[in-house]
Amino acid sequence: MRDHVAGGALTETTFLVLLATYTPNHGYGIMQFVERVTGGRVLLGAGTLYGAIHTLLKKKWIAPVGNDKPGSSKKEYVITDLGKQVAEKELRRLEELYRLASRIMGGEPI
Amino acid sequence: MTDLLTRYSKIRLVYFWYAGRMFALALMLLIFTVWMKSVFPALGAVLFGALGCLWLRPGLRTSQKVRRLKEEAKTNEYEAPSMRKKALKMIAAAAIPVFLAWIAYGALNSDGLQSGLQLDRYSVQRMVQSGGDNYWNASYGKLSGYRQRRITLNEGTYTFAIEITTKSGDLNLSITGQDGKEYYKGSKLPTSAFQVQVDIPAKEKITLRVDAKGHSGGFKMKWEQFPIPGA
Amino acid sequence: MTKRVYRYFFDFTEGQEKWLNEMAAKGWRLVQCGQLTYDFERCAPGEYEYAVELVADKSYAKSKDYKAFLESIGYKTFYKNVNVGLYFGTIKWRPWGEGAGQFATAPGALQKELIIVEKKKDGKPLNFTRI
Repeated sequence: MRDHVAGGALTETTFLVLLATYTPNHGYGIMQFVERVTGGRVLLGAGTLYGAIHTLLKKKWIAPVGNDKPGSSKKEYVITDLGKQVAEKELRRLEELYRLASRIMGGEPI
Repeated sequence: MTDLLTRYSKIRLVYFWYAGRMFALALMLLIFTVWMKSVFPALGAVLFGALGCLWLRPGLRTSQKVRRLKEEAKTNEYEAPSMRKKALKMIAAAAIPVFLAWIAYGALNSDGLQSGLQLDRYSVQRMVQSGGDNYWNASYGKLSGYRQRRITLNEGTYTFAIEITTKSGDLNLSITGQDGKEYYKGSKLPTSAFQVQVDIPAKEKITLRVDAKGHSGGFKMKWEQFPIPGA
Repeated sequence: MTKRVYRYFFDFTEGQEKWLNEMAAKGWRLVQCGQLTYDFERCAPGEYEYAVELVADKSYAKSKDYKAFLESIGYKTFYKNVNVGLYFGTIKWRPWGEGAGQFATAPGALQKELIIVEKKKDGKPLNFTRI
């Protein structure tokens, strides 16, 4: 899972996990969210998800949410401000691509 | 894609680690077989070789998968450096115990091992030494190199009573004057006790020197002015 | 009805995984595993499926974390050994491990090199990176 943040591109997995954590969510919840919103197109593997969550934690794009029940295995994660910045940057990049592709494929000369 | 690659690379490494350990044991037993000319280590070598192969097969299969993945993946450059670093780490990890073992071997078996690890011009195992104004004794497990003592003798005649114990190896003994005058020189001395009479013309510094080559045993020297002047 | 099988896998990832899935297809569900033993109980054929994850390069804390994560998703997990023997109180050096995973101790990460993951077959794939 290589995110070239300097180049601005996030992988689909990263972006989806970030979106899933706009509301606090735990591992299983993130898996289900991704499956639901992509209509089953993207199915996150448990191993992949574990790696993704830990990478995002390390990059401080998501943060763990304190639980009422200590020692609970249902650790929840929520997106941080930095994570939101990254996600918005990605949205702008995708919009730019979307507009460009629409114009070209719509037959507009560049 | 890189998830798959790291996953199968790790699995392959673990298979090869286990296989490698078995093959190393088999190799050691093979050496024992030749050295001891016995059939039992040979059987052990076959056993460990078989175990090694049982782990090698899945390792090779996983290796095929990794190679296929690497061909498909275009982001090889991300994997190569970390794998190389890991390989270097493993080589260093294997080299350090070998190096330490070599130092330990050199320290324990310093039979003139010209490895530069000896810190003095002699090496000795288990030496008990004592010396005084008119005696010098030493007994040791093994001595190699030379040891010497400088004493000052007055003008006159001295009798050196020398006792040598030679269990193995060679011991030479010399009594030399200030200007290199050889008062006594004995080579490859066996277990013996003898006396040497030395006439000193004028007060001078005498060097008592033993040269040993893997000598096991010891020596005892004592000297007295005799006949006593004026007697 | 339960049964106990004595088996050791040199091919501890794919061979073991394939065999566990074959048992599950016949209607046997894993309840416990020892160094050389597998205890099964009866279940509906094809009710469960299995995967084997290698965690030998991780430290004990990290592998426990991963195991807890898998359980929070709803999978059942078992620790499984690769080494066979009585290793209580020993330390093994694994230069290929990451960080603290380079030293496996018993009690600890030693004898817990693998995690067997069980999932109820419900049409959705078990989903670990596989080819």
